[in-house]
Amino acid sequence: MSSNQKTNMLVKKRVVYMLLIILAVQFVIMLRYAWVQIVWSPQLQKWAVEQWTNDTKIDAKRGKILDRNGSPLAVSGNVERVDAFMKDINEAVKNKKITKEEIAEKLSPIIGMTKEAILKKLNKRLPNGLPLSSVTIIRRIEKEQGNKIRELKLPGIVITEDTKRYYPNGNFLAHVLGNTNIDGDGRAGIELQYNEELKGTPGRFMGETDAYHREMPYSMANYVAPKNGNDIVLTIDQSIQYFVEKQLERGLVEYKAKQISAIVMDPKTGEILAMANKPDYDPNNPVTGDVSESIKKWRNRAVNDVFEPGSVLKVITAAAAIEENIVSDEDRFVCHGSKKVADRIIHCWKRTGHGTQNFAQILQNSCNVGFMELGERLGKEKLYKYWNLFGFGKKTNIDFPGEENGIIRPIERVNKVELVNQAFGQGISVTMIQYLTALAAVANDGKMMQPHLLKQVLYTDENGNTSIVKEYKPKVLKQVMSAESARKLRAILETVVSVGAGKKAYLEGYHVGGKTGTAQKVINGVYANGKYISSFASMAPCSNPEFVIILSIDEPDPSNYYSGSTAAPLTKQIIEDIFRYRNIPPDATANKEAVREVVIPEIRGLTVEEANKILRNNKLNFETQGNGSIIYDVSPTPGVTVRENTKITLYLGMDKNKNEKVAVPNFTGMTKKEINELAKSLGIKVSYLGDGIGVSQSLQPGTEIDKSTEIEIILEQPED
Amino acid sequence: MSKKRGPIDFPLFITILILLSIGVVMVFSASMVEDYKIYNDTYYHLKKQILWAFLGIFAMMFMANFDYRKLRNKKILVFGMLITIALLIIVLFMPARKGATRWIGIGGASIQPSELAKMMLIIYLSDNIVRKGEKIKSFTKGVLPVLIIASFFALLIILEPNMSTTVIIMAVAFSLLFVGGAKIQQLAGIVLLGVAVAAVGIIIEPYRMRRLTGFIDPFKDPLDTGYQAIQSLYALGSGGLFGMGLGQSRQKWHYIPEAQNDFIFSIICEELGYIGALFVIILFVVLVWRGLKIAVTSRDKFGTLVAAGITSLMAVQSSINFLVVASFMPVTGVPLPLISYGGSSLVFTMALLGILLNISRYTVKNGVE
Repeated sequence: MSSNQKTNMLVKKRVVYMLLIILAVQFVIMLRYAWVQIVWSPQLQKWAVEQWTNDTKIDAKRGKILDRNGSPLAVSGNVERVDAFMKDINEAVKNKKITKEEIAEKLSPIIGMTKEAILKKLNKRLPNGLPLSSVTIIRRIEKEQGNKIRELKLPGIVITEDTKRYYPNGNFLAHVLGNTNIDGDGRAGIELQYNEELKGTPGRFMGETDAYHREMPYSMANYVAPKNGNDIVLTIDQSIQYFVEKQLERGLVEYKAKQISAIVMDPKTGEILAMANKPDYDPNNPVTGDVSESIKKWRNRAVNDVFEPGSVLKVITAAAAIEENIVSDEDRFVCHGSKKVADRIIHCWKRTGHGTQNFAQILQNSCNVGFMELGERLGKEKLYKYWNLFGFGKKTNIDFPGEENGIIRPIERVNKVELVNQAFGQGISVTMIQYLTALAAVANDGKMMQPHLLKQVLYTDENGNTSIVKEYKPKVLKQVMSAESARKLRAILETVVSVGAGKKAYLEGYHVGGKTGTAQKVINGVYANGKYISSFASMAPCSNPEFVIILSIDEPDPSNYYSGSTAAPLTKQIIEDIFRYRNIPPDATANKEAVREVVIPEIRGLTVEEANKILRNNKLNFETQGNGSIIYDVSPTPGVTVRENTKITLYLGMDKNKNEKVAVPNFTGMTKKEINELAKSLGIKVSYLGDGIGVSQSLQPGTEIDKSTEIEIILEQPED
Repeated sequence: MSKKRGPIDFPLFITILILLSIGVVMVFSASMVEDYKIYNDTYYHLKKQILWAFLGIFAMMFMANFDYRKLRNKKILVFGMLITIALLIIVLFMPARKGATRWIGIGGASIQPSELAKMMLIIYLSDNIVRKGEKIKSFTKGVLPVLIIASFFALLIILEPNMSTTVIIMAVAFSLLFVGGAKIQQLAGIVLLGVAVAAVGIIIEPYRMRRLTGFIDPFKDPLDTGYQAIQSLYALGSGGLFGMGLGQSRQKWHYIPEAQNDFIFSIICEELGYIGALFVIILFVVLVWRGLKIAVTSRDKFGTLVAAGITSLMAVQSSINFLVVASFMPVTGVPLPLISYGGSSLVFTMALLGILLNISRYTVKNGVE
């Protein structure tokens, strides 16, 4: 072999080596591709699909909340949101067109966020370190702000529609409506209860997009249009709600109360016409200051809190007594101010006693002794039967979140003392909605209706056609008493207002039935001194009630807390407003039963013209005798209590009678303030013994006295 | 030496044409989206590639009929080398594109002098080594001069800068030394030296370091250094075994920019799957096998060296491209021969393959002494 041949052999050998090396490398490459494309493929594909897929949620417009007549109570307004698409921003940054800092700096003054906060969002990453494809910078900015950002033409900054919840009436109906969170989901009240209906179905755009978020043409882009939320029509009547809130606001100030609540219900359907608590909050700004403090303000106490009803519960005890036929009109109840039960002396709120009363009178007087007697006659089994029938201790299942059960003692732990206490309303806690549902059953001839706030669910399509999705049909829950018993009880309740403790809710020409209740508050298991809950339960018109009302004042000013002089007059105003609103004319037959009494005012020495005005205000008619311009004397004597529209006689002369005797008026049931006013107008002197409302006086009503005579009046704290 | 010429190596010829066809189709598929966006013409790159492909075929046919032994003509060698060096210097003063001065614009087209450099270096070094004969076994008289010439080219190219072509040129020179019969010990020493130089180069240039770390864990910085690697892996992964179908790539929708260039193989993997990828890799294996077979059977050492040089160039370029696309190497801009949208580089590649085909006509089998 020549050296040339040897060289050639070496060269050829080297070429073969080279082939082997290249084949080895290519083999590694084939393996690597097999690994990436077969083994690693599922994972990579998933990431790639994530990268291509633009899954954008398109928020549906939240439905409105309307009152029963279609007035908007909660609406969703159009605002805008700002999102940042990172790919575009990063590209712009890479090409040195802009920095993230510059973007943040430009956005900051428009949206009112600090530059640092915006930067933090722009630099956000997924937990696995991969960058986000997009990030939300801010939501719910005004259109004006959005347009300003649009003008900046920032790369990757996209402005789209967003929705915001508005409550056009501010605090109005706040506790019922509730509010929504940052994502637009309900988190309290009706907004929470009917969140699914209201929020609609978010739309979705799911499609493959290129690196600039434009759709790729391959697969069918999956676009699902958002389905706007349904509108919720409440049973609430905006006008009635307004009447109620007005009185509650007044009461909160006037009686210096801690809080005050009321519900108005249609007993025939169970529809809640109004429901309010004061103080309340503005759902447009549900969180102000401390978050947990704010959340406390959202409580709809009428449904979410229990209270001890006190004497308003006597209505239900009375219903049980009538239905069980354990009481007759001939029965007489004697109250000496207390009753011995087992080994305990239990006082009536009127320590001096109510004397001998019939069944109607024990309700009118709210006599605890009378109701202890009823409790004993019923026994705990029957009393509890009615507690259960009327739904105490159980949720009413009203369509509102967070309803309380109420608290009733287990029957086996009820002894004789507790039995009689419960009979007059102590030792049992209910929610206002529970109580009102029970009262509504009395109003609705014994048929208990399911209380509810939802009237209809409406859907308005893209073309603006509105259809009813759902309609709430009134639901009879059960017959808790006979219609006859209910009517009988209502007749008595009407007298409670016309002649009894509920007098201040008396409305001329209308049949209003009601019951007062003033309970001492139980705090940490003991009755708290000076802390009361004054409630007034009522229905009207009593013969065929169209609405029932419970109004409850929590911790009114201890100087004037008596239900009859706080909750009753507020309720009266509400009832009057509702009657006027509904155009219900006064009922002539009601006049006959009206036992409205007036005290003849001191008008001696006045001219006829002056007297005419005063008498007209007091609803008194008159005739004149004699000649002259000055009233010489009056018959009956000023201070005498007569029925309204009584014709009194004015004796005219040239001067007034030197004999200035007046008749002692009946101060019973009046508050100190009212007694003072009356005494002053008649010019007589009074002194007091005790505190509360008048229960007896040193001189009998009608006694003629000189103006200088002082009358001593005994006051008692009514705790009926 | 016989003047008698045999037929060209048919399997090689077919392989080249298949690869070229795949290239034209895939350039179209990979570029259409961006072309539509940028030029409002879906066929922008397709039309150009077809034109370049015909120019390439013309260059290949020309070289296939041009007796390679005439390349050893002194005038050709000297003139060719001088032109190459001149162009390599001129290119440094050309306006930069994407931060590098690699192109010289001539009319509407532009050529890369580095492509010419590869060709001239293979021819010149092959001739040089043949002339050296047994002296190649000497370091100072054999290996070192070769390295100096190659390094001179490499230096000019590194100034552009064009790191990957520098590496390729050095690799080809090394292959020629290896095939030419240089001593293994000396070659091993050169490899160690190369590794050391590379290490220093990486350490002094922070961007190279970042590239390297980006390659080791592309997901660490997915938006910057890892971006291309990740996007390429996404393409491979979503292609899976059978691919998404021709034309169905999602990654070409701006996720992989200029997909018709260095990352065209990603799109092939995505659209045609592992099956398609394997087919292309195997075609390159066939190309290498035929090329080296031609080298072995060449009747003169010059033919052997030129054939081995051309084949190693194809092997090195394709391997680097495959490795980069599969994230087995730091990202460097190496086009896939015959497939990537090429312009002048395609023509030069085809011309080189033409030379290879020409050599195949003078193999032992094809003629008698």
